[in-house]
Amino acid sequence: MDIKLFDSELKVMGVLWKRGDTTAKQISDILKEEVGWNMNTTYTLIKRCIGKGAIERREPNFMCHALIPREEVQAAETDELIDRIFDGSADKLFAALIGRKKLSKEQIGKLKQLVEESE
Amino acid sequence: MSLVRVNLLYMSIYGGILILTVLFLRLLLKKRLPKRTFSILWCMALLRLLVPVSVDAPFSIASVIQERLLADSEESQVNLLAELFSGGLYSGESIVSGKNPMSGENLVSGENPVPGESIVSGESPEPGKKIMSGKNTGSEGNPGRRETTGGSFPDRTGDGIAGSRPMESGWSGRELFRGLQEGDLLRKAGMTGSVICAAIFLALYLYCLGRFRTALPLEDLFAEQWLERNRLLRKVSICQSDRISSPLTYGVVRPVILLPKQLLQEDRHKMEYILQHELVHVRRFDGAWKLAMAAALCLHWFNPLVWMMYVFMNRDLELSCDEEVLRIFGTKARKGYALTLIGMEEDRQFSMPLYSGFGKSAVEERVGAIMRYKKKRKITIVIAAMMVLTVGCIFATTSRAEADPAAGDKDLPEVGAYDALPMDPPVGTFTGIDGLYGNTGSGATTGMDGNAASGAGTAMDGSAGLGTATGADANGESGSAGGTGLSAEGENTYRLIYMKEGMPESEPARLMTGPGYGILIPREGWTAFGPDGWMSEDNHEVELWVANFSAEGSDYYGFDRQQIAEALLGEGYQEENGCYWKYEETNDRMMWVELRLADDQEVWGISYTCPGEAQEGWGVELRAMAQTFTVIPSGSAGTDSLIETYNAYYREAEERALEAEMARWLSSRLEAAFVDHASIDPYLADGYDVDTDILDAIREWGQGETHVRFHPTDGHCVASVSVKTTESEEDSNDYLTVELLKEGEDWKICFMGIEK
Repeated sequence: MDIKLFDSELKVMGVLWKRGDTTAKQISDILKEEVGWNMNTTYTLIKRCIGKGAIERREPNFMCHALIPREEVQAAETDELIDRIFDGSADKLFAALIGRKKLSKEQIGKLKQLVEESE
Repeated sequence: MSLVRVNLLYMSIYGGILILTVLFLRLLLKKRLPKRTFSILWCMALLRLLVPVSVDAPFSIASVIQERLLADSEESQVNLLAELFSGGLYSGESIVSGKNPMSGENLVSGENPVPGESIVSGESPEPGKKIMSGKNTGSEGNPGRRETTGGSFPDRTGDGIAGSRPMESGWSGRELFRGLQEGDLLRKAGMTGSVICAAIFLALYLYCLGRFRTALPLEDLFAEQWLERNRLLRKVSICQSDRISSPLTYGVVRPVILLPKQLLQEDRHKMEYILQHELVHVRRFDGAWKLAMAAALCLHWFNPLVWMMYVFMNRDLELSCDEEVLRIFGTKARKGYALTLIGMEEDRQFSMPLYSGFGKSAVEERVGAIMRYKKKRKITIVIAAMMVLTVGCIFATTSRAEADPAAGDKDLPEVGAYDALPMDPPVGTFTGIDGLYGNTGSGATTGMDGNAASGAGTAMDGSAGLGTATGADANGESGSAGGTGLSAEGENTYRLIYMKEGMPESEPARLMTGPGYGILIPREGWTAFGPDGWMSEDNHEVELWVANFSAEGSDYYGFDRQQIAEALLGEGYQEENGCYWKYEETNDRMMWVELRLADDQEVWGISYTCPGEAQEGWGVELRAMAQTFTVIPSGSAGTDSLIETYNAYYREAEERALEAEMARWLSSRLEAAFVDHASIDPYLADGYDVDTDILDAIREWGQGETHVRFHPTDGHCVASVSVKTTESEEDSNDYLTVELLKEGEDWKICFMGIEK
């Protein structure tokens, strides 16, 4: 199985792995205590985990059940989601607007050289 | 002071002129003036665009325009405005189309057959009323939007609103004015533009915010301690996220510094640069200014100059932030800082406007500016301040002519809405910023940091006092001005003074305080490598760290000083003048440990290390730093006693430095005099002739150094130089005693004699 999770999602999974099946409300309470997330943040993350197939929702009480063991999780890479959303026109327009495009490798190399030389 | 309503068109025109002025000044003086100048000017432009009221001044730009308008006939008024629009000022068609709708009233009144009132008064009764309601929504909605909106910035407006850019570029301004009679339609189009802008901002902002919220708190001792040392009135927190690629800060009231996870893994020693950069953004409320920028953009979306402002203000905020960071870290940090920035650029994946990011805007420009960074001279700062003031006076104000009609408008129901707006005169705000700026810029201190931590109200006075003071006395002042926030206030006023190869060295230093102690760390060339530890940026094997040996978890927990000393000897250390050292041959490292006793029970250890071959150079500096280590006694007296300690340290260190300098000076003079007796003459006090026999008698310098002792009370000093004379025994030295007196600025020899 190939499920990739971000740190924040892993935090949610961590609660389930540690305590077994837990209601969404309880998870939210625990994480509020631990990392200061508000309820909405935690619920969003739970929903995302459900979407990725890492958590199964069981009734009653929105009981969350971890579908995968800790060992099978891979760290997700930054940041496919963002790329998908921002790599549309907005990003390109923006780059043009703000006057900053991504620098090429050569340009970055040149900059570094400049810095090294001017010391 | 009269307050006046200014409609959106005027706001856009004045704002636009101000933007042009700033752009011009920026082009001309970018490399000469501190970058802060421009961000302040931008802030002024921003306020001009957003704040519908302002104070009146006789020489405002508004009055100039209006006088011209009043003097001319109605026809020429239209012409003038038309000129303004179609001429250089607003080159784009889109401006006009947008402008009309939002502020239709003004233009309509221009066309209105009641001449005298016309444009200047802004509202002729009938159309005025009608349109003002429209205007109200425009500017009132705006502050609210400022709070909630803010997402990123809508390039999409371009697409989305393409339809609402009806005018062809060929239109003259005049035709546009005629077109205004259909102002209703245009007004709607303009408002639609603003609403769409705001909606896009809001959507992006909320989306990003949602992502940021899922960040995890950073559990890192170094970061915690760093926060502890740089406390602000607002609670700043540091989080980490694996979903961002360059550090950023969000939130104005409760700012959160968000660090990318990968950065924490790779580049820990760059963290201090990054944190400092973000903190400067936080301290300057750059996040709020960016929100204001977004608001201005939504409101004046039709004005391309405002878009240009958006671009350049973003850059200047970063540039001036860089400048401040370098002022704090010193010029030696330029390279490390620039490389950190370039590294960010490599990692960056996408831009997120509205959040004050570290790796943002024209990186090349920033790197160039960083490498060019020098401390600005006072005169530059004065010029910059004057320029800001002048521009502020001319543009931030509204003319009297404009102010008067407003009084007559009071009976209009809409006025109430405006009265309810915050009436802070923008000029007041500027002087505030300006004062702040002057101090920051004056280069002598950043006492501000500390003051900001202890109480915003007095911050300015405190730092103003500090602005001119330097050296040892400044420490005392900065300490008392800052009050409780110990960590930062003296930060930039201390100096580390020590002897290196007989020469006094004096480096600007920061007072770093940790739990229960304080120590001076040179500002340039040193960076923290962890809690309570610092290392040289040039050589990472040169390190200094402090530890409370009596704390739980320490290897020496439960030991008293004697027992720790024995333990150290057992580990292969040797004792010398109370300092323990050992040389580890396997990895060529010199290790030192110094012990300090606090409250007669706690034992602190100051450890430092450097490669064995470098011990001559680094050892001296490290030892000097270790010497400044001070335990802060528990209780409220802690602060005062720390300051006292450092002042005493100063006096002593300065005296030592002075003595060494004098000794050096004297040695070189005397050496010359042995060869050529006459060369001593310029250094002889009035009425004293040196007996050349004495000079003849000296064969060579003896063993041992030149010692100089000052007697500041009666203004003279006595030096004793060990020499060999023709008469001295083979294995012993004679002493040449020289007495010096201060004559004017110079020290003159008033006595020389040989002592057997």
